[in-house]
Amino acid sequence: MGASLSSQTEGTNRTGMRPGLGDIPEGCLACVFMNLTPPEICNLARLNRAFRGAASSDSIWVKKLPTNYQDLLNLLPPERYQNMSKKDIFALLSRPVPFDDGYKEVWLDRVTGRVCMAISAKGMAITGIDDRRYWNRVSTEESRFHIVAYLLQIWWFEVDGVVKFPLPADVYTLSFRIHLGRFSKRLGRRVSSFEHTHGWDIKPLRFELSTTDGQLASCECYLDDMEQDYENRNHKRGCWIEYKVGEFIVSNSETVTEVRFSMKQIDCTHSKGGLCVDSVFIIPTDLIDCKRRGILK
Amino acid sequence: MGSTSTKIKLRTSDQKVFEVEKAVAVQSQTIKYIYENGCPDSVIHVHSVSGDILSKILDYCKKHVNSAAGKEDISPEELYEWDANFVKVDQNTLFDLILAANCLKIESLLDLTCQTVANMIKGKRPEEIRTTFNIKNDYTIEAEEAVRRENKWAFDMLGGVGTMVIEELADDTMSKCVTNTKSRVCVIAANQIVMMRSISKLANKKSIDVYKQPQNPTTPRIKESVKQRNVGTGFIELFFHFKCKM
Repeated sequence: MGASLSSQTEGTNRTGMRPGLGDIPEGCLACVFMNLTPPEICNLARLNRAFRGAASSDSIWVKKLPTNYQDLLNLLPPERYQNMSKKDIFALLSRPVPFDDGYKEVWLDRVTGRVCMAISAKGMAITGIDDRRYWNRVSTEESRFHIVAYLLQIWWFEVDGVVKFPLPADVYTLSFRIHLGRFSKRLGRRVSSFEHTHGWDIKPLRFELSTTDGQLASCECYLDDMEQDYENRNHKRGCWIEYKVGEFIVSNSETVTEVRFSMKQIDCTHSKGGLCVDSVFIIPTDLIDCKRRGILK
Repeated sequence: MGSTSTKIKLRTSDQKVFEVEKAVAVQSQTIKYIYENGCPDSVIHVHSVSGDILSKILDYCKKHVNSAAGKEDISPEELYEWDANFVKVDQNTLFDLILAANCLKIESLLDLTCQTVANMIKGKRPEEIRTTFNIKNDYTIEAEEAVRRENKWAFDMLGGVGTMVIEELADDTMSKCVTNTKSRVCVIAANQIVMMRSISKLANKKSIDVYKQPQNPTTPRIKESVKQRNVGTGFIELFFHFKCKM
């Protein structure tokens, strides 16, 4: 049953006996909340005390969490989430939760509650990473993992990775976050330098992904453009670009999804270099396409 | 008997009697239950619903039954339009409809009306919501501040993918937000122009586009300029759905 919020409405001269938002029973209020996103529900908590109570109810928040949220909680020590309300669990999981020795992170999107993931270059198999003539590891705040791999020069360019995680059912897009050129701060300003950047306009880079249930996606892309004039070339250089590899579908939240991904340019007739590899993102396609079904209306 | 023109009588709280086809009346799970478990010939009392409201509800049920049975040639889009017009009523009537739909257990009507209320809530600050719905604020200043802090996590975009919202933060907090954000677009409340100048320099270094939130959130201009930068209008929608004090 639950108490209604009727004591909180004012303006009796107008409303008299007619009900307002504060008078509808909790069940109906829950129905209203179901159509609101978590930030909007948190917004309602600021109306008054009664709304704060209603906005914190477990029954509302459990619907905003993914069905297998326990799998995300299992990545944390139990003390962190013991005795927490579902709202607090949502808040906890909406901040990045590291796993696999901190090489990967997973979190819930605050608005839709969908699971997103990022995998650091640290957690990928990069050919020649330990050879300082080819690759350097650079600490930077521009990466959520605070470290990126910078390529000086190499002939066999290959970056592979794999992730195993019980992702909820959804359609996901996988993308690589890359930066052509290296960057630094000089006199407080961000400066990019392309002293090592070469070879990306000769042959395209090949991106691939595959899942254990047989899904495949690939694409080829020139990271740099020789033909374009200097003006246009700048668009691809000096900024972080997320190259979409493709999409894959998870049909069942129960199973553990394993995704392998790679980017390669192994034509050894030419060398390439001057590239920062930051991370791979696995984000539900809807969040990227901005077609959030039913949430934004 | 199962005759298609079986009628059921309903008496409202203000003693009005309605005679409706069974197929229409049993859209309400409550009426259906009473009908199937009580005496089919007697009048069913719907104590908590007034004549006006029941009349509207019966219109709704009739429209939906007819459309589903194919008696009325109406496309899903037209039905959707009809529903949208159906809920264009004053607030008091809307809440009466919610209470009645809840009591009569008409799920689709309850969903429709609650969605309408949700749409009235979206995009508003707490003060605006209070004004719209006549809700009394019983927080002390300290308590309200505590609740704001408690819920800050929902508006904190630092770790997220998308648009950063900055409104009424202290200068240094705002600088930290801009420095740390991974977003490419930043939208500032219309009344924060002073803030806009101070962070635009910072934002330029990070190649973040700064926009002023227009007074009318659906202004096409801002959507167009955002589209040109390949960010996508979804980010603006994301902003407007939780624009709120941080």
